[in-house]
Amino acid sequence: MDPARKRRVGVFSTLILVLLALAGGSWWYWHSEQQKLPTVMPAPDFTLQNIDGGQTSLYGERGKVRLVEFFFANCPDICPLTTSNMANVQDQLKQKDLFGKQVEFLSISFDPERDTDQVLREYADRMRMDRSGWKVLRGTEAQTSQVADAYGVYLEKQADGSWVHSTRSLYLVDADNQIRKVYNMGDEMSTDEVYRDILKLAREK
Amino acid sequence: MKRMLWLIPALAALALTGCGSQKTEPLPAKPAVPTIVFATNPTPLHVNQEGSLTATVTVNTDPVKQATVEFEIWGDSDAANHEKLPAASDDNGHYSIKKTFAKADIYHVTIHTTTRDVHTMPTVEFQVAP
Repeated sequence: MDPARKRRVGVFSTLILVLLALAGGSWWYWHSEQQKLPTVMPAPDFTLQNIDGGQTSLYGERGKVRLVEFFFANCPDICPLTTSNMANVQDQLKQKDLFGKQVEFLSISFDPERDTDQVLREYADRMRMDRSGWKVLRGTEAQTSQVADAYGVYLEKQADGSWVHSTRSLYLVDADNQIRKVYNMGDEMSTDEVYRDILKLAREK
Repeated sequence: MKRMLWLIPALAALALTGCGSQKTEPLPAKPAVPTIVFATNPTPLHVNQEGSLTATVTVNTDPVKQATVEFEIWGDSDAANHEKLPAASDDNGHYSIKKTFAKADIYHVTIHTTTRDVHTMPTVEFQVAP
């Protein structure tokens, strides 16, 4: 093969490779966007006291995509980090005009003894939780323990009042009350992943 | 050029594998709750002498090697002033800090521990002697 022809073949091959890589990348992006999140199980219903008044039930909010968090306000690290990440997702959803309309956040305190309405309101204000679309819920210890148990959240109260609790206790529930994903909290939580998954479920409607 | 033809079936296989994968993630199972044992060296610690504070984290006697551990320390005589220090792991379940205390006191330490499965924060006390 003469050198000029060899060079042309080389350029052509490189071009084909680049095109293939571009096509493959685009296809993967499209595919991951289109692929539905699997269903984990039907979300157990609950009815708990809303710190802003009245009762809130999960099934009463059917029709919205919901992110359900289990937390306690005295938790100094993993819970506020998770709530802060959720507040960032809240801001992104507001920009898309979805927050409160198609998407709602529910935070359930499992420490009713220390997490009074007032303590939770202060926590919510400190963490920039916009309660127009983010409901903060509490109940008796028996009620919240029962809800946590139904969701597979491990809770163990210690003698000093602190809690041993699961780190995988953030649930994405679709508009039909199905759990579609469970996330790790704290450092392990991927805010981008949660945001993308919420958008995916919002588009399913 | 012909050598690159293998790329086409490879990409097709990759695509088909991707199409068929629908991950299902079960609800979290009951997590492994760690046991945390705290010790100082020496015991008690002494004022103005460096000592170590160590939390040993195990599950069923097996060391937990990939936990995140932070010590939150305060003394009885200055209870409002809490200091938080990240502990270093020796990859064998021991999480330690080295510290010199300038004041003899009864101190408290909350051991903030996050493992793959659970978060726990036991509080214990220790002494710094004159």
